[in-house]
Amino acid sequence: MNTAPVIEIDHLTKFYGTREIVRDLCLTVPAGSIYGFLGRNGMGKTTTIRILLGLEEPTRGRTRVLGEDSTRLNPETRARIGYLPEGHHVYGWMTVRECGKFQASFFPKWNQDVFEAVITHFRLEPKMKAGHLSRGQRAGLCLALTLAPEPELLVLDDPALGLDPVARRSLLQSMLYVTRQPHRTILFSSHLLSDVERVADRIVVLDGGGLRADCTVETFRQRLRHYVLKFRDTPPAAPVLPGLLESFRTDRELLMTLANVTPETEALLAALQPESMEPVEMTLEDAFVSYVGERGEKTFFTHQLNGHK
Amino acid sequence: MSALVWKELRENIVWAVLLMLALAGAEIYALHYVEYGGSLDLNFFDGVTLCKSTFLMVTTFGSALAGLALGLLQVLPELKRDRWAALLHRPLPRGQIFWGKALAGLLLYFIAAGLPFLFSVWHVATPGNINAPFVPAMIRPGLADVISGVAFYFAGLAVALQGGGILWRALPFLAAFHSAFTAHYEDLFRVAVEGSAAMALTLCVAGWGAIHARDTLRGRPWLGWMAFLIVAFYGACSFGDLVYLAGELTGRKGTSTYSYWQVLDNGRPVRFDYINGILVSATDPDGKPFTEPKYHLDRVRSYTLGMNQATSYVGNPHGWHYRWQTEYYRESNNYINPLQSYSHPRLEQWFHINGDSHYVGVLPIEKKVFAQLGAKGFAPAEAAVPALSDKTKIGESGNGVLFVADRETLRYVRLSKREITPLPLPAPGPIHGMSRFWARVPSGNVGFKGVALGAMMAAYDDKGQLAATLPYQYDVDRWGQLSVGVLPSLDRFVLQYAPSIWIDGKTRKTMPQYVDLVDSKGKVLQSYTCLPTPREVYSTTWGSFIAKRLNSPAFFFGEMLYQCVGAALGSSRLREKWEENWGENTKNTDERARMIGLVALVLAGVTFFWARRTQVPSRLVLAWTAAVLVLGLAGFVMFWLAGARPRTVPCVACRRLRRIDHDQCSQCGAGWPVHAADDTEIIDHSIVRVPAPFA
Repeated sequence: MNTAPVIEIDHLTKFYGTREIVRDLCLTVPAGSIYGFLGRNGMGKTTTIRILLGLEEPTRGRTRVLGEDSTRLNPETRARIGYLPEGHHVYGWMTVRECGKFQASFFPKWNQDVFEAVITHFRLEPKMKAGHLSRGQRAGLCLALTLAPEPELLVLDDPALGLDPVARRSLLQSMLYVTRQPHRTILFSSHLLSDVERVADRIVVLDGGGLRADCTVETFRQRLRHYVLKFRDTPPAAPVLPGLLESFRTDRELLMTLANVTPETEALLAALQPESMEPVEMTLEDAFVSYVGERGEKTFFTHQLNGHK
Repeated sequence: MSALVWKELRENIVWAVLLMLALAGAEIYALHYVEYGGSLDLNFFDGVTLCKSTFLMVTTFGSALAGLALGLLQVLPELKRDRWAALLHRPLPRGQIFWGKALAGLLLYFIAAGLPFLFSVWHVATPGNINAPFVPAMIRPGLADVISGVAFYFAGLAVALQGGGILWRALPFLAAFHSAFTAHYEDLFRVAVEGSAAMALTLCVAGWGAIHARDTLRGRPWLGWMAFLIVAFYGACSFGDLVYLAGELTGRKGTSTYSYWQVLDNGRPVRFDYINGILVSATDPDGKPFTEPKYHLDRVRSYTLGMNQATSYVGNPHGWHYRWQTEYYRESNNYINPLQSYSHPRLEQWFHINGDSHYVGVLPIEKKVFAQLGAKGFAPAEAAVPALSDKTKIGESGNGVLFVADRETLRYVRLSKREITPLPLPAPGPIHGMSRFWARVPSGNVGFKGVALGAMMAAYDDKGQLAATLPYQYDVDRWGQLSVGVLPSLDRFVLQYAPSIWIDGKTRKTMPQYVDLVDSKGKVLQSYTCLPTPREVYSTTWGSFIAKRLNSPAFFFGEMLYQCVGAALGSSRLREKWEENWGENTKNTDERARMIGLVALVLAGVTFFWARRTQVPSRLVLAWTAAVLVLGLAGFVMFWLAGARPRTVPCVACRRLRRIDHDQCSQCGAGWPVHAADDTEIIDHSIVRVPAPFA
């Protein structure tokens, strides 16, 4: 099996004006894998994708896609990359059939069967005007247009953006059904882990322009821990611990979320002499929100609200 | 690419059709609009048919707006990041995407601006629509506007395709504006069209380059960035145009003074002196004001003779050719001259067609050509008419009367009666020129025709009768600008001798003029010597003053060199222009040359230091400095907007500015600070699980 990298990002840095959007990013995506590209809004996911596809120039560093420098992708290589940009743009005045015909004229390997299968899957009629489709249907049409050329690499930039939760779930499920093919590499960006957890082999988390996580979903889940420390009196301020993501102090409790917990870290927690210390199971979504959320301590004391000491 | 062309056509055809309808409506309205006019459209103050200034205003602005709008509409709605990305990601070279848009856009532009113009031409050419004959050459100004609109179309594309700041994006539009501005004031149609076409081509290539890399010149094909630099240069030049226009619209004019000699209705010369267009003194040849109440300053101009110049030089002993007609391609009198241009109703309207010199008569009610007059006399409307010789001089005397003079013969033509009568000359030819002059009498004006012969001026009345013979009393080789007039008594004539036009301006300004009062037999009754008048001082606006001094050294000195070489090689047009600059206006031209040089030098210095401070590579610092030295302000604006100065941020180590695209600080050699790990990173480079084939 060919596991040569399909995407190589080498010390990529991108500035807009004097603002650094992507900082010194290094990443390798091997062939046949499905990568979830995660991060909050404005953390550089779309910028990185656009640089990968040669739609923007990097400030420093370089990127290669399918073995070719991104700044010089030739049309043949582009034909091997399916790209579904966010927003699901279609020409509203075209019918679904015209959209397919228009797109087919650019791709030598256009597979009409795939196109028809996908639009049927999304219950689209060829005579429907693209401008009259719902957002979910439009997303389906865009997916059909992206898949029909049978690309080796599929880059999906937040494909479920703007859809309601039901449509989002439905689109993602069906999308995964139709996109997963042997040897097809998928890079799939989102700002929600729940979008990608069922499908991605690995996740990459961008935060503050830099790489914070590059691992499997299981590893990500395992490496994050949440502790509830109960105290008889007002808990002490959270100590500075390695891997501390956030802490929350209430009248009698100290809640802490940590990454990469080691026995030494747990010993430091125990040194706070809580009445009890329980590790609590986190959902993946909670773990992700803690991971990319705001750092530092938050407090909430009811005695301050009631005026008691 | 055909799919792209089809998509562009489908997407924008509505705009093109709307623009077409709007332009066609406006053009037809403009063709029929008559300023101060009556119902018969017999007023030609505004120009004739396709050269009417109202019509040309529509074609000038309409074509430019249509082109610009289509260019912008083809790209701007698609520029939303995802749409644009989807378009660019198609497996086509980016150039092909541009050409797909451009091909469709040109077709749409033809529909929007070309078809309305063709329709207007058809409307004018079809008998029964317009009160004037159709002269094919008159399509030139409108055609030039339509071609100029193509430059605006590509400017629209390039403006939309350019990323970056507003001025950087506006450069293509400004370049098209400068090109249109220049073409508008260019005398020759060919030069105007060549200029517009060259600008359209340059903008097209610049737009093609911009689709490869929107924000910077880096990443564009070399032809694309070269074209963009040319566009940027012309765009920068338009700042001069804008300053000029702002000056014209808002600026206070400087002081202008001019003086000239005329003749009063008592036969005495009068010198009028004007300051800023206001008459400030009227004096006799001795420099004294007139004492008679009717010659008081506020009414003296009502008592001057109706004189006209019959010839600007007698003979051609010096091989000098005077271009008597301005070849400004946008003016209708370059192609056609209506015999009468006022609004009074009349049964026939005659026009002189300049190209193949002949006359055409039009019936104002039917709006159809009914007769023609050529070298062999009158002919019906449909007949092929031999042109009058280019040596033929024609004098129009109003009321449908013409004096047609060949070298040795003079004919009297009554258009309404279709009569041609040969007139005897009182002395042998050749005939050097003719002019109409008249006297104001209580019953109206009494018109005469002055015919300049080699030794005398012959005066004929409007009925073709010889009224006076006026032999020349001065050396007409040197005083050959001859004007003739008649006193209200109709028995005294005036001959005014001014220096011949072939004499250079500097000498001409030192020569006196002579005015003789003579009777109908040519006997001199009174002779006056009029001293040379002071040199005219023309006012300029602050805008014009500044714009002229901000000119590019390359343009200014290049133009001077071109005029100098052209004049040396025998071009009379370029000699005239050279003399205009270095004859009477030497001081002014010299001052401009120094100022242009100084401005370029200062700006080149600023460029040098600015470029060094922003860490432009040394080779480019020198190149930009040289460019600014040669191109002046335009070069500086180019450097400012298109110079692609590297972006810099303060270095963490040395606090000085460092380039964001370099790995090391050029000042202290420090690298970029490494992102500090905080033990929250989850990096696991274990072997990636590759999914099994999907069943």
